[in-house]
Amino acid sequence: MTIQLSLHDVTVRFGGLTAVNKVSIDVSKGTIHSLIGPNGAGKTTVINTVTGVYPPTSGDVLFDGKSIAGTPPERICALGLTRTFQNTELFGDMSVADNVRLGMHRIAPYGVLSAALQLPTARHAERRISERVAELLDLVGLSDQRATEAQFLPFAKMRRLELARALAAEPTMLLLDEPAAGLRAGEVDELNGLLRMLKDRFGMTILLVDHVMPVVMGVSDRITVVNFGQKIAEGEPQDIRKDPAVIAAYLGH
Amino acid sequence: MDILQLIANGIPAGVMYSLVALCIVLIHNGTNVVHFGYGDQITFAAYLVVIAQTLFGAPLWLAIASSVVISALFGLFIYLAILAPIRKTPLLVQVIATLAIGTALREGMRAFMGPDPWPFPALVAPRIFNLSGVFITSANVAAVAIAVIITVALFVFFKVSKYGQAIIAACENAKGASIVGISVTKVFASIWIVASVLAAVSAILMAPVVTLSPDMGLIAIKGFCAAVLGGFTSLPGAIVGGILLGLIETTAGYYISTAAKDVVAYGVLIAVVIFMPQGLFGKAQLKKV
Repeated sequence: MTIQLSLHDVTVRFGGLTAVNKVSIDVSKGTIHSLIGPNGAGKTTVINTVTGVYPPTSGDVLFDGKSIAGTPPERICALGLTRTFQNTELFGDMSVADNVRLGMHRIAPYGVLSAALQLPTARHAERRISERVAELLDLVGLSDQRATEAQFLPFAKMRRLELARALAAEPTMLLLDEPAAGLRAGEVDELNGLLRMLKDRFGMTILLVDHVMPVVMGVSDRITVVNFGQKIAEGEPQDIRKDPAVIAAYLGH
Repeated sequence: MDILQLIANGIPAGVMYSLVALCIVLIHNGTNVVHFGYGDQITFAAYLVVIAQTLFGAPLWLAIASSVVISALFGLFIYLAILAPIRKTPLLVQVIATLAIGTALREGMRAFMGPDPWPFPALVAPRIFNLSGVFITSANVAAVAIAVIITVALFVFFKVSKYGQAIIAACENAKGASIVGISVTKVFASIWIVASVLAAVSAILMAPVVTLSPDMGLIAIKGFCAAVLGGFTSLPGAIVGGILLGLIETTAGYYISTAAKDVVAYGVLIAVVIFMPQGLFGKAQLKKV
């Protein structure tokens, strides 16, 4: 299987604090790979490093074989890797549909002038974009709320909107930072269904960071466990469940 | 003087404040910085026209065009060379940097162009129109017309175009914007360019009406008042705030005294800050505890 995202001995230090220490992870194309670990284990730091929020102190991050360490987020998005955030980073004053539309910033084909003059090509493009927005909102179940301002959505729907916005950029790989935190049981099942569909129907590669075991165990092809910034285990869900180091990390020594 | 004449005098003054307020709000929304040097950027742009005309003998249109271009480049320079490198410092540092930019411009012009006023060419031939008893000068008509065109163009740009939407998105949530592929640096740079181009436009509208001296930029304080009146984060608020301030001033000038104009304008500012800190169009700042 081809490796889509690869972390090589990635270390991230903030002053004297080592948040991530020599972590290596290989994510295969078209799989759901989970990154789990207790609070403060360095999971979000890994995601932030991969998406260019800050560069690794040492080590390298390869996406589709090319180094992306230290590349700014907007360029990483252009390469086909995008993400959602733990606390969602939506455009709250804008409508649900406009949030998704902005997700297409990189790929939407029209310019200022043609849009202002309503040239035929622009109108055609605009119609295609509207169709795509409708499609994505349908996918995440927000079709009824397309005109709602994003800030007025309940939190679970904000998460789904952020996912739709991420998908609008037509990425080949998604990084999801705790998409299940705070969800109710029924919502967890919906999320599982959605993630599986993204993988099966669109061949999406997903790196999932989460605490919620029904999601992680339910959808993951492979799981990496980190604690205190270090990788302590890696394998398939059934192996991870039995791994003594993992049980110790979660239950305490 | 009847009420229509007051309106006819107040609105042209108001649109100038609106333009200044619009740019201050735009820069503030993008970078959180209140640009206290903006008025001096306007004065600088006005001097650029005078310099091109008197020192290089350029015709008026060329002088104006070069002022717009140089002002735009200067805005880009302010952002890239001064404010971008210190964007992670406390806000106070950045605000003081804008004050320093303003002071440097103002005193620089005083040193090179002298403290005395310069005559500024009128944009349109001076005429006075009589609309059934209401008198309107051609300069005021031009000012309102240009301000309206710019405002409409800006709103179309922000509402309809992808780049306008990207700017609004990046102003609201820079993190979210960069993740969808918007370069936040480019957005902020373009905000500074747009604001600086508008500084040149304001200069050309303002300088023939008020006196062009190194202290002309003080008029930007009225722009701040207008921005506060409109809520400080709302672009339509900035426009309405400016026009309202112009009308209030003119009315106070007529019914009380011309000297009381500024007193009333700043009095309104203080009243707004105390009783309605969210302004006319701003959102109430409620903090959950």
